[in-house]
Amino acid sequence: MKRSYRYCLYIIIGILIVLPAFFLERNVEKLTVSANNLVIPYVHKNDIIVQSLNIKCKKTNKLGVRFATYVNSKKNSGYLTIKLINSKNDEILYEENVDVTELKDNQFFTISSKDEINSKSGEYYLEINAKNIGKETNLGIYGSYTKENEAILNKVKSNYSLAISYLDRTDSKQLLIYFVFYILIICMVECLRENKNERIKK
Amino acid sequence: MKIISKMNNIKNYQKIIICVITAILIAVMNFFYYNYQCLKISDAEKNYVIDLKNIEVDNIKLNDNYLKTSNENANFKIDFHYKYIRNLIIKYKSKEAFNLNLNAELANKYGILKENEREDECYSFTNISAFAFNRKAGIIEFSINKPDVVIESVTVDNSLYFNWQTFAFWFIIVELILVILFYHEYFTKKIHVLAFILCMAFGLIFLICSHNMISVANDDETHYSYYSSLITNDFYTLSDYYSQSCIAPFSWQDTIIEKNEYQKFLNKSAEDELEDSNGNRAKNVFLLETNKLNYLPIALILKICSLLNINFTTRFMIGKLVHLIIYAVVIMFAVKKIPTLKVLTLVIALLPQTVFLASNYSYDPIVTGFLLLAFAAFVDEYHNKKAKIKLSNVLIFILAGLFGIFPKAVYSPFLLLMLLLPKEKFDNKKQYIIFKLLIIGIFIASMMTFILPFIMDSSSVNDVRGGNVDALEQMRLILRNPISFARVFYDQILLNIANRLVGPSTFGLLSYYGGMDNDVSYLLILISIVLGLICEKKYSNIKTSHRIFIFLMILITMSFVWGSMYLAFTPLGEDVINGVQPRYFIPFLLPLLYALSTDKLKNKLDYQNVVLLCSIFIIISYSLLIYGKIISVYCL
Repeated sequence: MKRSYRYCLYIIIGILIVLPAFFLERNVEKLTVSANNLVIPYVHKNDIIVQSLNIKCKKTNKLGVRFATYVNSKKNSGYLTIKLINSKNDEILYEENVDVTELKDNQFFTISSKDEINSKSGEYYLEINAKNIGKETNLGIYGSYTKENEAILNKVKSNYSLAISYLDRTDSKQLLIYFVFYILIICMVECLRENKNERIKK
Repeated sequence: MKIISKMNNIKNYQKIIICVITAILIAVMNFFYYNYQCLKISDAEKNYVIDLKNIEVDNIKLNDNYLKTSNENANFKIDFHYKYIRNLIIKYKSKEAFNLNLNAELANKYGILKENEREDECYSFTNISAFAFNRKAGIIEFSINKPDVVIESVTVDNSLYFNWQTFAFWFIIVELILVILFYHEYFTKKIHVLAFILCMAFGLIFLICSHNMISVANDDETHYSYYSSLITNDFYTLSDYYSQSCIAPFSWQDTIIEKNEYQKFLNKSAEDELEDSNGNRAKNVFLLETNKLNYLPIALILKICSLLNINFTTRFMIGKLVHLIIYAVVIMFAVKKIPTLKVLTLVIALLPQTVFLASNYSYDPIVTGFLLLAFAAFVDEYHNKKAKIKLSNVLIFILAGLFGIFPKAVYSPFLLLMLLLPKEKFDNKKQYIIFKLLIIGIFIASMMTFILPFIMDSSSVNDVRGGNVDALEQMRLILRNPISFARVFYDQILLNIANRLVGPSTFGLLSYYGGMDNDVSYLLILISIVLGLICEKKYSNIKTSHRIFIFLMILITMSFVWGSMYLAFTPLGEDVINGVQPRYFIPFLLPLLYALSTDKLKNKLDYQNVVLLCSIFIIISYSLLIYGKIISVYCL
């Protein structure tokens, strides 16, 4: 193949490799803090947990909380009220009564707000109200022990933060790594082709 | 051996006739073996429903047509009066899952009644629980641990049937032996064809005989969720949801009847979409990422099947079959490409654990297969030191190597093997240096796919299955206590390295089915490896410094494997390394044995006989393993 054709082909393939990195957007699930510790081992009846949202993304409308339901516990009953509130005007953006028997052990329960929220500096908070859960309900919530953005349990500041998952819409610049491999492979091809051509000439 | 060599001379049409007659014989024997008891009994006893009115009950409400449990200690007894039962089928309805335990008097091989305990987990979405007895029974006591379970009927099923799973097993094994005996001269010349045939044959046995749809291999449900992510987008179908997270407990579908019922349910529910709510975690999968790229080919196949409205279970099996075919083709090319140690490559490529995983959704066979192909391309260049370097081999090495490395970037040092190519293979020094620099560049770029995500967001590498893991904190702990960490590392590697490389759990672990012990099936594979190593007539001439380089490369890569699991999978501060699976070490076997091979070893072994012997050893090893772990437990 002529060198000019070959180089044209390289450029076309290169553009095809690079394009998705600039045009594809995707949702990545992130966590406010690590969700490995059961920071609230048992939610008691009438507990009210407030967690300010410190979300590092432009906008999101899906939030998740990781619950422990103690699989073998047969006594879970009642409803947990989850609210998403704007702290500036106390507007409730989302409210749901969640049947605790529907929560799955060690999995995130996801809520979807109608409007997208931007809570980089904590304008929004989640309120989990256990007023309507059964007395013998065994329910825990995951999070991390930290001194930043602590949750408030029954109006008392705690030493932990609940792990809130959220969807972050992000670009796909990481795909440019393929272009790096592509350039290196082209260099390799050209390097070895040169050898071959020289051998043919000789 | 004379008889075997005579078999080569049989005419083709005679070979076909022998194969067909053998297949018919297997079918007939298979039918009579599983039905001879049923053939002896009268028509009235073949298929009958137990009258629930006259049975002994405890904590159960007895109604006209059904039983209903009152509390968590409900039980009822049925006396079968020493009659033969092949399958006992219990039809039920329940709003939640419950355990059905049986305490049954079953006749042993002498016909004496002995007590047996059986357990079945019953789910609300299917309504059948079945027990395969295949013997005479006395009194059977049924215990149910949940209230409000309705038992609609108890049926004895003694009807004639054809066991397709056992037939497939015996048919494939016997025909395989015949084909190898008939054509062993051809296979000695074309070992890569033998590798393909053996891989497909064993893989098909696994596909047909696996008693469960999913969850027979480790983390299969997670891998499947990635493969199906092009179909599901923001939603799982209900079938996906059930097969991935709800059920799929390994021991559940232990009879063919239950498996069929479950498959009916999955196909019926496949069109229903489950709303985005709890447990829906596999969405947002981005298959173009380097560590997910290996999922893309089968994800596209599943997407096409979905567009063609192929039902869920068929689609699911097509995905597994394509996975197996990809692996078989890759190892076929690896065996074809490698100029020496072909038999050894064949044996390593056909380790039961890898073929088992290739017939499921695990991505480890992709890693193993493509790294074998890359290594074969390297050996092809290294072995012929005088010949000039071939562009095709370099491209195969880089592309296959990268595709194998992307899912697990810790194998990146593999790429450095190309640095061993001697200067004489290049036309001038400049080209030689550029080549080496480019290889190092590709290695660094490959490592970056693992290191950059860790630097940018350390939590992204955490594997929550490990428990309280935190890669960043673990790294800080290591940096604060380097000597303690070195001791942990030393203990783990020193104590485990031999077993991880050539232990029974590396060769023949069939995930949840269990695997080889130090038994005949393991020893046969081990002997095949030794034979494959010593039978060669044209070993590579490897410099001592190059051997040391390969050993170091293997040691460093192993350290990366252990190190990555310590960071991402082991809870903070533990002095053991969790989650390191023996299968992670399979890609090291061929490079290690290649580095150990020497042209000083002379042998008088007949190459053709070794190929035949190794093939037969592998077949026997597989037969023992599959019959012991799968057929005898789940396919009767």
